[in-house]
Parts: sequence; C-alpha cells; structure tokens
Amino acid sequence: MTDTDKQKIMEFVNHLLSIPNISGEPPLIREGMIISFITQNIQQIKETLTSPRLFPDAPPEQTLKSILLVLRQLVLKDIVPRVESWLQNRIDYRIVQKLFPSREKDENIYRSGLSEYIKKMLMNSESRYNFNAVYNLFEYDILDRYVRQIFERRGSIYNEIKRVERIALEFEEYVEYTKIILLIKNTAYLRVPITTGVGKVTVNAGDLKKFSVPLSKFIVRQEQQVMSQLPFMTKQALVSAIKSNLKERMTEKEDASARLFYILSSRYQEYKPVNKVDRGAETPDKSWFGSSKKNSGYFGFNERMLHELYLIAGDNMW
Amino acid sequence: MSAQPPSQDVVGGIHGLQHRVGKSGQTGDKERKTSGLENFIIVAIVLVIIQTFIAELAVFYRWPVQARTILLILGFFFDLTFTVEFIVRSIANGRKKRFWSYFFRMRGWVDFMSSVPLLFLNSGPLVFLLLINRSAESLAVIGILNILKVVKAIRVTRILRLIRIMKIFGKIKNADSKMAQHHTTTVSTTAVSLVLLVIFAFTFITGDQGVQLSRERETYYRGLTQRLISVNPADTAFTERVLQADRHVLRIYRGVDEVYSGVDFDTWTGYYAVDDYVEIENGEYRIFVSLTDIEKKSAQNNMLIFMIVIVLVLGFMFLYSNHFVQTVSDVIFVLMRGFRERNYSLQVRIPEEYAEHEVFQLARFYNDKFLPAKMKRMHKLKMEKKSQLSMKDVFKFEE
Repeated sequence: MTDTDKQKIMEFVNHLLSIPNISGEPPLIREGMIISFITQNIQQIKETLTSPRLFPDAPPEQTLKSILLVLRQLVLKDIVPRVESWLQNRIDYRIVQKLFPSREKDENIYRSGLSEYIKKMLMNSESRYNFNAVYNLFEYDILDRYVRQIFERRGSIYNEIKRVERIALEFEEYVEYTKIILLIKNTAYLRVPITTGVGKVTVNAGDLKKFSVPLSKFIVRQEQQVMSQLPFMTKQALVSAIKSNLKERMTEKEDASARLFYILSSRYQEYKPVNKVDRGAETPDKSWFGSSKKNSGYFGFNERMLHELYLIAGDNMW
Repeated sequence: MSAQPPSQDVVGGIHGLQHRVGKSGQTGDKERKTSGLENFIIVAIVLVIIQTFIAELAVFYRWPVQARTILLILGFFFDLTFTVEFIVRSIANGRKKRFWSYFFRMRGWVDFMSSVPLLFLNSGPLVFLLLINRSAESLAVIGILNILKVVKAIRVTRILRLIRIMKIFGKIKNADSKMAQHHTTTVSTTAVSLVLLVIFAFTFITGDQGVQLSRERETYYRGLTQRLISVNPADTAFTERVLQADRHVLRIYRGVDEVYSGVDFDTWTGYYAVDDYVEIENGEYRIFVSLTDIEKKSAQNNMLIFMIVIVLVLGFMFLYSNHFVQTVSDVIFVLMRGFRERNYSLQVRIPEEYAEHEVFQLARFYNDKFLPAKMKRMHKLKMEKKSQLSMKDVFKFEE
C-alpha cells in the first residue's frame, strides 16, 4: 500500500467518524457503529473500495483491514491517555494494596499491570465497545456519587453488599474495589479456549448460552488469563467483574456487587451528559431507572436495586 | 451477556419543536419591518402606561401646568398612534376579509377600546381645549367651558388606557409555550375587562365622583355669593370679606377690578390649569374657586385603579402563567418530545398534588407504559444492528 493510499485511508476513516448521524457519539460508540455498518454492508463496501477514485490497486480485504486498523488507532488515541490519567490520578493505591495484597509493594506494579491489561482488552473490538460504560463512569465520577449515597442510605443495596455478599469494606475501600472491578470487567469479552461437548471452542461472555458453556468453567479460564498479568487479583473480585456483564438470572444470590455494576454499566454505556433538563421532565438518571424498572425482567436488572437507584437519582436530581 | 438498553440522554437546550422557539425565523425584509413595527408598538404601550401613571401623579402632587401639559400632549400622541394602528390593522384585515375575526378573536376590540374613545373623548378634546385656550382665550371662554364639562363628564374613559396593558401579552411572543401565552392572555383579558367594566358601569350609574363634587362646589359657591349679595347688596366689603375667608376661593373680581387674589401671579399662571378651578359669575362678581383638592382625590382613585390593574396583570403574567406552564404546557412539551424524538426518553415529572389531573394521568401512562415500551423497542433495533449510517455516507467520500 502506497503512502498516498495510507493518507487516503486516514482521510476516509476521519470522514466516517465525522458523519453527522454519529459525530455526536463518543469515540468508542462511533467505532462500534462503523464496524457494525461495515459488517452489514461488506459486499457493497468492498465494491466501493475498489472504485477508481478510492483504492483500485489494493485488494479490498486488505484495504478494509487497514481501515479498521486506522479506526482503532484513532479511537485508542483518544481513550488510552484518559485511562492512563485515571490510573495515575483516580485510584488510591494504598487502599488497593490493602484490598489486593501482593508481594510487590510498589504501586507502579499495580498501575502498570492494570494499564497493560486494559490495553489488551481495548485491542478487542467487543471489549472496546463495551468499555464506553467504564469510560463514562470514570470520566463523570459516577461511582463515587452513587456508592456514597448507597452507603449513606444503608438501604437494600447496602444490605445486600454487606450482609449477603459479605463484603466488609468501608465506603472509601468499596469505591476503590469497584474501580478495579470495573476496569477489568470487560475481560469477559476476551475469548478463551474451552473444551465443551462439541469440542474446543473459543468463547466470550456472549457465547456462554450459545455453546452451553458452564459459567464456572469460563470463570476458571478467565482467572488464568487475568492472573497471569494481574497476580494481585482475587477470585471474588474477578467473579464480580465477569458477572457484572451478565443478567441477574445468571448470577447467584451473593453477587450483589455484580448486579449493581451491571445496572450502572448498562446505564452509562451510551450516556451523554445533559446540559439542561427540560422543565417538566424528570432528570436523566431518574428517568432511565424509572423506565428500566418496568423492563427489569427483559433487561435482566435487579428490580429492588433499580428502585433504590431511582430514589437516589430523584433525591439528588441526577 | 450485557443487554444494555438504549440511552435516553439528549443534549439539553436543543428543541426541535417550534412552539418553544416561537415563530420560525423568516429573515425577509417584510418580516423585519413587521417585527420592527411590533417592537415599536410594545415600546409605545409601555410608555403610555408610564405616561398615564405619571399624568395622575402630576395631578396628585400638583406639578406645574407646563409639565402636565406636556404629559397631556404625550397622551394625545399615544392615543393618535394607537388609533392609527387600529385603523391600519382594520384595513389590512378588512382587505383579507377577516375584520371581524381580527376584532373579536384577535382582540381587535382591545385595540379599539384603548385608542378611539380615548382620542375622541379624552386627550383629543383636551388638546383642542389647550390650543383654543392658547390662541384665543378671551374669545372662546364659553366654548372652552362647554368642552371642559363634556370631557369631565366622561373622564372615566381614562381608565380605558389601562386596557392597553393587555395588549402586551399579545405582542410579546412567549418563548415557552403558545398555549400558555394564549390561556394567560385570555384569563387576564377577562379579569381586567371585567374590573374595568364594573368601574365603568358603576361610574355611569352613580356618576363620576370628581365631576359630582365639582358641580356641588360650583352650586355651593354660586348660592353662597347669591345669598351674600342678597343679604346686603350695598355692603360689598362684607361679601368680599366672607369670600376671602374661604380657603377654596382663589380670586375675586368685581366688574373688571380684582378685589382679592389668594395666590400670587406666578403661582396662578404656573400651577393652575383651566380644569383646576371653576369660574362663577354672579351679578357683578366673578369668583374663581379651587378644585385642586377634588382633582387630587380623583387622581388618587385613578392611581388605585391603575395599581389594581397592573398588579392583576402582573399576577397573571408571572404567577398564573407559571402555574399553567408547570401543570399543563411543560408536561405536554415533554410528552411531545418523547413521542416525536427517537432518542428522547425523559419521564414527565408528576407532582403528587396534581397526580389526579387528567394531563398527569396521561403522563403517568407515558412514564409507565410508553417509555418502557420505547426503551425495549430501541434495544431490539440495536440488537438487530440497524445502522445509523448508509452507503450514501461512504459515497460522499468519493465525491
């Protein structure tokens, strides 16, 4: 591929990212939309790419590959510095070290381990797309404000976390615990090889039902994958992280944190901050939790948690 | 696997609905001229309200004649302007064969009532009086007095000027809701019209208090002079002493000689206008009796009415309209956005105290049934991967 072609590919990707229908979306969502569009129109796009005015000399598959590569590079150029910034400034490693004891006492080990693993997850398109929820939760300081309210109100969510899940953490500790879980939750979208009745398959959390893969087996494989890079990670935290991608019926009674993170991740996956709410309208979070309560069965949310989050959002005008 | 439902967040402040942003912006010359004219009328209405209040204040605080004359002339020009406005609007609507629609439905009657009667029954005659008074005082005394009597008898028409306040409602485009604007205008117009109608009817039935008191005073002093003269026709000094002792008597002439003046020349010329006193001729005596105390009371009453109307209108403008917007039009606005816009899913806020209102019952249905169904539908569409992009977007790059 010539330099001119590379330049043209860059321009083409920039053109796609700035299409008015999607230009208002966050980078990760835009990328997801473009990939989905290309997948749906693959034949037509291939024909278009070989037209004389685009890339007539290159095989369309190669051009397409380059396009997706450039697209990913451009998106990661926006996301990775933000992630590095959170890892640097938003995490209290003294608490993290207490929660996840390790032989290594240097907080840089934790930081670099997390950074590398997140980058690995971001190389996977599904994991990357779903990272938008994590991005928003960190970027807009959502965790701190909701967890604070949950701990102050001592309602049903608090009781489930404390008494059912038996997490004996204080507010500050639970916030840091939550951050670590959310940062690695998308590991569930990374494919791991599992031997099933039909043979060896490579699956992620989305394929468990399709291939009838037992969740426990999937968790063991994921554990191996995660522990190799994040040796300080505990099994309980990893289980919460993986299950925070699953509907309520796929979780156990004691997976309270996972159910909470599933709701918050769903809420903030396609979140866009609202400058001004219309007069006469409820606030965005309250509206979302309110509507979701009616669909809790369909989306797999815990209704009691939704109700409490609905009350929290209402009381705080979120 | 995550079944993330669609997000409902919207960029605040961007409203696609026309009723929130007022009239769509045509930028033609004609539109600009019309808008300029409308702004001029709004400014004129505000000014005429201020002028009306200050004119009453000037009477109450006994401002110099010159100041009151300026206010009178200003009032005349305002009445003239509004009369011209009414005529122009009538002709324009008449040409389109919708005069009656303009008169009754578009509040043309307010335009009429607050202009034509005032010009012909109040400010017009007063300015005419002023011109005659200035140019041929001695020749037209009888004419002046006759006009003055007529004007005073129907001075109640002054309150019609207040009706213009309601026109502001029609002129200022409520940026929030046309429905709220319309309802507030209707309610305030009804209330103000009824208040003024009661005052008007009461004045016509019982007569204007100021006019009655002026007549009583004139009759009293005519009778007093008559009785004093008849007691002892030869003793003019007695008659004059008694009259001089009266605080309302300003000046006394016997024949062409001034025998008494309770006010110095500068005060007389500077602070007494033709309607501040009454001139009584009786035999060889001509006496000038002050009416300023009656004028003052009359002005005080007018200011009270003025304040009542202003407070009433402001109350409707700020309190009632706010209530209407909160309990009706805002709710409908949110419902409309939810129905029309794909990505809009904010619930309607339902205040507990109004939950039984029909509009909030509809909102309850929207919150509990429509929005959850919409959320589900959007999620299904997303799962079907309906892309928001099209091949046209790709072809555009080729171009």
